[in-house]
Amino acid sequence: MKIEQATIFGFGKWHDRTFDFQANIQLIYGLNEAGKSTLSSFITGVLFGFATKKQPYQQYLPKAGHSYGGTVTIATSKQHFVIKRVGGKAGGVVTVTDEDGKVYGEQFLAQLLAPITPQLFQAVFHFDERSLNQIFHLSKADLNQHLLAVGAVGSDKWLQQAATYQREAAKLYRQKGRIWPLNVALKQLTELQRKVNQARGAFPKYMQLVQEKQEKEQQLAKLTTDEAQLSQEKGRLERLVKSWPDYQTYLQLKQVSVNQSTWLTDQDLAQYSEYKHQLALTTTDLQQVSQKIAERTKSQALTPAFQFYIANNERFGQLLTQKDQIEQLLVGQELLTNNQQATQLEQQELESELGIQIAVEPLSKADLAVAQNNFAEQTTLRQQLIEQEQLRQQMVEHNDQLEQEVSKLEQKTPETNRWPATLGISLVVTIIGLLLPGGFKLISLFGLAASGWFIYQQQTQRNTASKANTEWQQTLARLDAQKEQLQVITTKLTQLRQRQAGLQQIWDNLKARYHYQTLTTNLILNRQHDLSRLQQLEVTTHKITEQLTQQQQQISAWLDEFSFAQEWLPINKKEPKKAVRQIIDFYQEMQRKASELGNRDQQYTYYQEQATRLQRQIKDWQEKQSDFLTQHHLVSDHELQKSVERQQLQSEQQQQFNYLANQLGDLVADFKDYSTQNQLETALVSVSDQEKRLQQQLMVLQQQLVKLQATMQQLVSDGTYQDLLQQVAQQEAQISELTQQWLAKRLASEWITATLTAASTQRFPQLLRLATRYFAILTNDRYDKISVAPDLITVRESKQATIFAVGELSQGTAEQLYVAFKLAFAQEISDVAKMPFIIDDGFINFDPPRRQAILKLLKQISQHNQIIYFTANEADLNSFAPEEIIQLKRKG
Amino acid sequence: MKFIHAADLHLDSPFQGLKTASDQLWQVIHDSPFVAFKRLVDDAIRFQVDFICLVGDLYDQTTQSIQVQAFLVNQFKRLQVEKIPVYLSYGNHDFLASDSVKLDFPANVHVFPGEGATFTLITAAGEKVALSGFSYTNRWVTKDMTSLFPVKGQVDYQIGLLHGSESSVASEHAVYAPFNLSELLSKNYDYWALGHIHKRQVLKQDPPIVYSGNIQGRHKKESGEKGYYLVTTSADRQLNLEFHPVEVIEWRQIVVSVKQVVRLNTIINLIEEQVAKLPQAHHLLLSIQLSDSNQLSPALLKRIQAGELLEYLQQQSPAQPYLRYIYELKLVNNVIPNFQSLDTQYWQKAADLIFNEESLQELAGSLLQYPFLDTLIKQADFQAELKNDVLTLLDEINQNGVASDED
Repeated sequence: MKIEQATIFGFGKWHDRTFDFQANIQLIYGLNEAGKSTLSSFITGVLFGFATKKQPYQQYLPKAGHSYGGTVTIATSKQHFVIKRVGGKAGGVVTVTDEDGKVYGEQFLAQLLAPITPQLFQAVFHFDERSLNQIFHLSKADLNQHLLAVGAVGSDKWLQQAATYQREAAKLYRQKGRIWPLNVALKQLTELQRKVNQARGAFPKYMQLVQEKQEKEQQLAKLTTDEAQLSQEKGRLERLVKSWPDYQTYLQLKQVSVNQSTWLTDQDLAQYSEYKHQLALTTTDLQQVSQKIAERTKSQALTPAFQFYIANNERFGQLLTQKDQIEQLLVGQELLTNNQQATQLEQQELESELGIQIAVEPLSKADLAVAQNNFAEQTTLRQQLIEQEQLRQQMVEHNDQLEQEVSKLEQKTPETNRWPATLGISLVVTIIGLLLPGGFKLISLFGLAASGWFIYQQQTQRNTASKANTEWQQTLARLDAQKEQLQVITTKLTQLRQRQAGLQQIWDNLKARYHYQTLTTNLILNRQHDLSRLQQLEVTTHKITEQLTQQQQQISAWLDEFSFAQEWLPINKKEPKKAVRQIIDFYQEMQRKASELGNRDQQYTYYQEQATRLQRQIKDWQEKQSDFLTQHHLVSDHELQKSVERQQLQSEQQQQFNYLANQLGDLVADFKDYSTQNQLETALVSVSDQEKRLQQQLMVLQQQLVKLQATMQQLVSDGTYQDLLQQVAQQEAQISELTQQWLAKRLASEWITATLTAASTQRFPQLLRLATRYFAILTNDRYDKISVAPDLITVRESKQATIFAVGELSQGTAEQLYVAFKLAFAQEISDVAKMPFIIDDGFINFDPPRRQAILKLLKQISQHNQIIYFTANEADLNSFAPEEIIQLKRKG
Repeated sequence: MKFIHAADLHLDSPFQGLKTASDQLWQVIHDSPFVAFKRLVDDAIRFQVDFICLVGDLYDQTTQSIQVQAFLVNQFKRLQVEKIPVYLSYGNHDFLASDSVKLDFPANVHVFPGEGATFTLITAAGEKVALSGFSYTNRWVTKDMTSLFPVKGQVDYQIGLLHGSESSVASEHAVYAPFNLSELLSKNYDYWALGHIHKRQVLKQDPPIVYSGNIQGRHKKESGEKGYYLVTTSADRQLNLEFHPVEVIEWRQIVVSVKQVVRLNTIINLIEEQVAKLPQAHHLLLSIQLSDSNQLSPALLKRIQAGELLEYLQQQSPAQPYLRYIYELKLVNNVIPNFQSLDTQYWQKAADLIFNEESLQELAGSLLQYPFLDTLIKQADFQAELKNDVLTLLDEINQNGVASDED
């Protein structure tokens, strides 16, 4: 590309001015403030955009009201374009007009300039003093970056596309992102998997439920059995409660049947009835016969007494059957009375002999032994006491003698035996004195003095009294021994008396116990036998009296029976013997009269015989009846009747009992556990309650089972799990798809970059070779090698082969290195893009030889790249042809 | 003798590779493995088979799905009513671990234990049949398990149930009870019912050594008809194999050329034409590949890439009894672009750098922590697909020219 013309409407100091750049290398010379930099800025401004308000000094707004902007005419290999840029937003409004007058916009311009961007233009094709300093910061990466940007035709577009893909990819997924589709999808997947894991729990849960169900079913079976049992029990108890009254009756009846003693069979009863019947018949017969006899008797002239007898013949006969017995009783009474008299006599005799009024109980065998021992011991004790007393008396006497002897001896040895006591007293006084308070303590001093004196006294007398003393002492010793013996005896005496008192106590107790207080010891010990006898006699008397009384009563009773015949047979009951005789005599007299009467009247006799026979028969029946009753342990007919009634009742009760027993059946055994109806009812309530509870439990259990089954069914039919798995698969598919898209974009981007890199990497060695060559030219062969490490660029000095880092080079040399790179770069990419160089006073640090060298090199370069060179260095003018020079004049 | 040989029911495995589908389709998908197995059971009852061999992978042990087990129990009970026994060996997915929680199967189901066993039965025709097999007790069985199978005994027919892979196949399957054909032949069995490989194949004709394949395809690679083998004996005691499809949904790929097509409508018509030609036996999940897509105009390409065409096709709910669901639409582009001025050698050179597994993995970075993505990226066909996608992207620029931002 070549810049052919620049027309300025208004830009800084320039307005309405056109510059033509015909030559390949165009020198624009001007002094300071001639407008060189303004023109330079205008050209780059039209091509790449004016400066914005952020850089007001770079804007070059016209001062004098001229319109801002202008045009630049360029020539490409194909045609010419006029680029017009006027003031406006963001670098101004630009239009491009082609040869046909077709107008394009900003994009077209960028396309036209591609791959040269403003940045790249500044980096490569624009030189000024300031930018040359960048050499110190240049790195291999920068070079590569620039190379990549211009490495191939259209590479900027490719790079843009790569960036677009990168952006698009970043809109799908970022490693740390959250909102991008793939990130979101991945998050959703995690969430889904969590749900899947949760749903997976259903299976163990189901198995758990299966087990729970089994347990519950077992429980249910058990409860059902229990319930059935309880129900049965309840039924049983209900029956028991209902049958309780029956059971009570049953029990009563059972008791009765247990009590049942005599039992008369029907046969027995029939027999008894027969007896009674016969007896009645016979009695009737007898009455008739008696009637006949009475009639017969009436017809005779009979005594009233006899008539009375006849009338009461039977009764007399009956009573007199006991005649023998009564007579025997009378005899026995006589005997007993004799006996009684004899016994009483003996008793009286014994009592008077013994001297007691009332009989006393004899000693038991053991007590007798105790009494005898006691007596013997007491006797012995008494003996011993007497002996000891005598012994003591003797000793007392002996003692008196000895004492007299001692007193005689004592007179010979005065006071000697008195000192210990006196000394003792004085010592006691001393001690007491010590115990007394305050001044009284002086008493002890006195006591002490007294003691001391006594001791002294004793000491002086000891020797003189020695002989008499010995004798006295011996006597005294004997007296002591004597006294001791006396003491022993006294003690023994006391013991004996105590013992005697003990024995006396026992003796007294015994006597008190047997009421023997009035009895002498001799009687007690030796007449025990008599005492026994006396007691026996008393008992005998008592017995006899009782017997007598009883017999008298019997006799009296019998006599009383005859009160009906008082008129004809007056008896005195007070004399029973006589009365009995009287009765027997009367009866025998009447019988004799009756016999006589019989002999006289045949018919009468006949009746009499009849009567006797009937009477015998009656007696016979009566006996049979009586035997029967006795045999059946019955006392009377009445009792028998009662018994029969009872028997009948029992029979009925037995029937009822049997009926109830049958009715109650096995229940009877069950009733035994309950003593009251209340107890039974309580049991029933308890069982009912239990049953209710059980039924409640059963219901709950059944409900639980139903619920369990429902839950299980739900678990089985719940498709959530499968759905979730499918959702996971779906999500994974979506993620795979997104990943594929993302990868495709990223790969496309990387492929482009990699391809461009591949394309540009070959350019780098070429670039380095060119730069080395240019650097050698610029430094007049002083340096022959450039090395580019990632962070360091070094050069080799050719003569000494010394290596210098960029920072070690002089300012000028460093700038020359940078220029070399720039030119080399432009050269290297010339196949892709050819841009004019715009050099704005770029080489001020170059010395004249090197300046010559650069100008020479620029001329070479200008063969393919246009060069617009602004300078204030007049010397440069010599190096250019006139047509290559534009001179700017400083105004005003 | 008449029996059914099936394997790899994978009742609870989801369908892979579907991003979107209608509710109706999801329901069909969800039910499909169950319906397929029900059909098998229906057939067993209809044909009154003597028994059924299920050679492993009925479900996935790790998913522990109660629904699946309850379903199996129900189906087995149906067979029990018909007095059809089931001989079942567990495979690497439903292995018989010591801690496995499994519902009790009815009495007509005979499960081979881990140490192997032989069951015998008498067929309706009075033939004595022995069935030998074993179950996996672990996810992997690296041993050759053929030694567990006894040599054919005093029976009319002996059948081996073996869930595993033939040793000659890829080493990644070597952990699934590897076996070789000569070993199997040495047992002198009349039929080898194999499981594990989902693609139906007959390894040997006489005696038949057969993979019945799975009964319902679950991703696009399990395409084609799926079902079971009905094995019957003819009068000469020869075994006849008859394949019966039971699958509910079939995965299919169709290729539609878009050579010289300039309108989207034309593409739609071309696709619908092709789809209409497909058999009407069951639901179809379709992957459509548009070949020669590099000849499409950039604008058209862009619209297709934006998913417009796929969306339109998916929305077309066909009024047929069976669903025809297009789950993916792929542009096939094999032409490496020849970009102006940038030397092809640079592209090629860079492609070698970019399109390899290592750089892919580096690029994917933390995405690889997702096992399914890791697996995906390692797949050669995915890598090829990816390159195709990239080329399609670049082709777009190529056609637009580098400066394509004009409109």
